[in-house]
Amino acid sequence: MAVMSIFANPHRFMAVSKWFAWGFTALGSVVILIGVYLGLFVVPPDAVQGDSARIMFVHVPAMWLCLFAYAFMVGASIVSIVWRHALADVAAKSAAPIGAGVTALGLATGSIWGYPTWGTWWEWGDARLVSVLVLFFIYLGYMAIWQAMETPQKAARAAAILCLAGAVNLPIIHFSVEWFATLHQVQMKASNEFKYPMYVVALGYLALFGGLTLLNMRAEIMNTRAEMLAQRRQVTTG
Amino acid sequence: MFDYGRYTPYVLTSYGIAAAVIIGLIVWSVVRVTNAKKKLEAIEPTKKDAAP
Amino acid sequence: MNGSVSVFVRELKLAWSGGGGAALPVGFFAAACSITPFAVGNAAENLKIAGPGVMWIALALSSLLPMERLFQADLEDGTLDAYAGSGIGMEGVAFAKTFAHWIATGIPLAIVSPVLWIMLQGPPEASFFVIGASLIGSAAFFFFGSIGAALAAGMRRGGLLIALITLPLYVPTMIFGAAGLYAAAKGEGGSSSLMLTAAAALFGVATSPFVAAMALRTAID
Repeated sequence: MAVMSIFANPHRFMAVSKWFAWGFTALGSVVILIGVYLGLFVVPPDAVQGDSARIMFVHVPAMWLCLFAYAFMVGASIVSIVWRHALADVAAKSAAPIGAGVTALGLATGSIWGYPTWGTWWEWGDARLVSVLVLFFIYLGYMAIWQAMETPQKAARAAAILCLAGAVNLPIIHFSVEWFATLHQVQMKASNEFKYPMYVVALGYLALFGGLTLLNMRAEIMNTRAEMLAQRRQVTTG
Repeated sequence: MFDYGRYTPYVLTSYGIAAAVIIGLIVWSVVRVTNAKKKLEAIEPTKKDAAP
Repeated sequence: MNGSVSVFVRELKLAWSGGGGAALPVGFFAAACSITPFAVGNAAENLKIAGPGVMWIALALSSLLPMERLFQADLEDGTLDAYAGSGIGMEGVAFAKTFAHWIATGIPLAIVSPVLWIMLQGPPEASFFVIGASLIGSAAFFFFGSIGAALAAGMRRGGLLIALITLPLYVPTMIFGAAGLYAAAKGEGGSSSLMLTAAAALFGVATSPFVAAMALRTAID
């Protein structure tokens, strides 16, 4: 049955993913370090915002990654529901904690950036802020389903459904807040030649996301296979 | 070494949080996969694989 | 179609008789609104600022209360399996159950709402508006809540997970409904907000049975 086959015969995925998993993790880490170095030491302060704009170099890529990670999970959830491929479930489950972590990172750094720059730690009228906050809760709910459900198969299906429901919900929330907000739209103006560390960091984040998701997928598959073999051994010898 | 005027604590805190989250995610993932490998090796020894 | 109606009738009887029916959610609604002055200060100006929002939150949380019971019992005693086997269609079952619970509990919540509105210093002239908004809002909260209820259906004490899953789904209804109530409190036209709330509710009513059905089919397997 296709549901269990990835755990019964994981060799192909495990063989292919090993080098990518460790390679992307290492590559991503190095690229992030380069980007941080550029952002903190090489680039001069921004003409408009001064040194506070340096926060942008870690904050904006985090927001990009949190959306990308969720889009990845949506894709995996669709594959899971339509084709019932267990690898898709493992992929979505593995990506979630990373997505949630960078979402929290983005919210925190955004708030810290906001205070000295615009005088406020948070702005409920900003549709992007509110949507990302709700996205964070959706990540938490998603991970809670995997934790709480008895069997992994049921958890996988319920989690996939929740992921898709969240995807529909997020644009609606974005629209709702925008409709409701009468306040300013905060524009971030920074000149282009000073923004390039942001793109370096973004590439690093992306590579790291790929590497860590693959590492966690490997861990997931190995754990489940170990449990499967232990049970089988118990049945035959016990 | 770090002088960003009045923004110094904000910039440093942000980068500190970023470092904590990223390093935390990396460490958690690496620990998880090496433990899983150990667990699987105990039951199903493989000859060739070097890295988990 | 016939099958869904019988599910609906059965569910209505169960909702009214078992567990005191609407008494607990209505009691919770009243209690939550009543303790607001203790937290916010009993000055009329404070209540006028906080009242509409708090009442709307209380309505949402009161609607969340019956969700744990929505599918749990029938899942455990095999009734859901029987429905699945009988060819009624899980979408119909989900819709009928949620609709029945809304009639049994949501409507009483809406009936009580103007009393609580006035208690929180809302203008009495807005009472009909408040009832209308509460009917629409509770419908939205019940149907979006059914998604959480279906997703968490297999679990013991799934209440917290249901809340965590459902609250993001409540956000648009929260925004539009509260905006309408605030407009009503000031005497301005809340009709555009009410229409947006109705749109959110319609979206919930139309789509949630399909999502809940998918989740229920997983739970049955």
